[in-house]
Amino acid sequence: MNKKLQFLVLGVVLILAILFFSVKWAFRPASKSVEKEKADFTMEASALAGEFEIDEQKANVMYLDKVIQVKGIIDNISDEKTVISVTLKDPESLSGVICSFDKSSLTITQLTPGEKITVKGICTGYLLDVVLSKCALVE
Amino acid sequence: MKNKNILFLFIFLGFAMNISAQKLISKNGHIRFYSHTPVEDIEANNFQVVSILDPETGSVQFTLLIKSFEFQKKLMQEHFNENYMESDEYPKASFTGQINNLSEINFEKDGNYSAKVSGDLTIHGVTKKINTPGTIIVSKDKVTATAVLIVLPEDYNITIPDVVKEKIAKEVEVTIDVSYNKN
Repeated sequence: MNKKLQFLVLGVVLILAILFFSVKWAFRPASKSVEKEKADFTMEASALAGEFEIDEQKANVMYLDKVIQVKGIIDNISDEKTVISVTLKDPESLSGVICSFDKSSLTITQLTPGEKITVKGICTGYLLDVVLSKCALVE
Repeated sequence: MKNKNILFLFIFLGFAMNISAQKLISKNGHIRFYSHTPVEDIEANNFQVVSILDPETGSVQFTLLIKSFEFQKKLMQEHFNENYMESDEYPKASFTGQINNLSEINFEKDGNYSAKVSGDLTIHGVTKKINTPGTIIVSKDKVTATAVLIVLPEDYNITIPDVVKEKIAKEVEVTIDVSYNKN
């Protein structure tokens, strides 16, 4: 009888613990950057932009929601309210890659236009440029 | 010699006109939406809105990627993309319209101008005609366009399951804030 009760209590505690952690998981806050995530693709920024230029549909299927690590030359840095947008673009290409950083994950003084950097972020699609959000500076 | 001067004058004039006719382009406009219910307030921000405003013709355009909306909670963002907006199928939302009172706005002179804008809003593959007031702020080195409009998810065939109906407002407030750099 005593043992049964013990099992029962243990069971209830276990269920409660699972419930607690799954609720916690479900309501976890969105992370500000992909710093800790592994890149699904690694490529030159101009190559990524080129693929979207040629066939946006195909590139969407391939890259949307994926973590992509790109290397490219800084064309422009813009400081917005809560984000910093860094555009990676070759002087000769039509479109580039806009990398959006949360202000907590980048200091603007770290970067200068013309510099070559490596960034990873989640691909959200293509407008005039390919957009990567939640970016993290790799080097 | 004189001919040459005239030629230069024309080239210069052409240049000057070109500059004044230049379209204003922004690649990092901000659009925020806000849904308020007694149960929960939901907010999402998109800082990668592309917008083109032509001061000559008054045409104005906004395009954004649905997946670029950022929520505080990861699960909310997933539901938003997968269940409500179906962003794999409809990756973009856009607005193409016109400033109807262009003559009242002087893009050369600093100031706050109220704008009347009308056009087509496309969300979730559905296009609707909308009218909205907005504000255009002209300052020395930039032009800022702002507007607040109410969007009904229902109008754009966005179905919200009964389970979460209490949490998502019938009217969603959309705030637009785009700054264009003058060149």
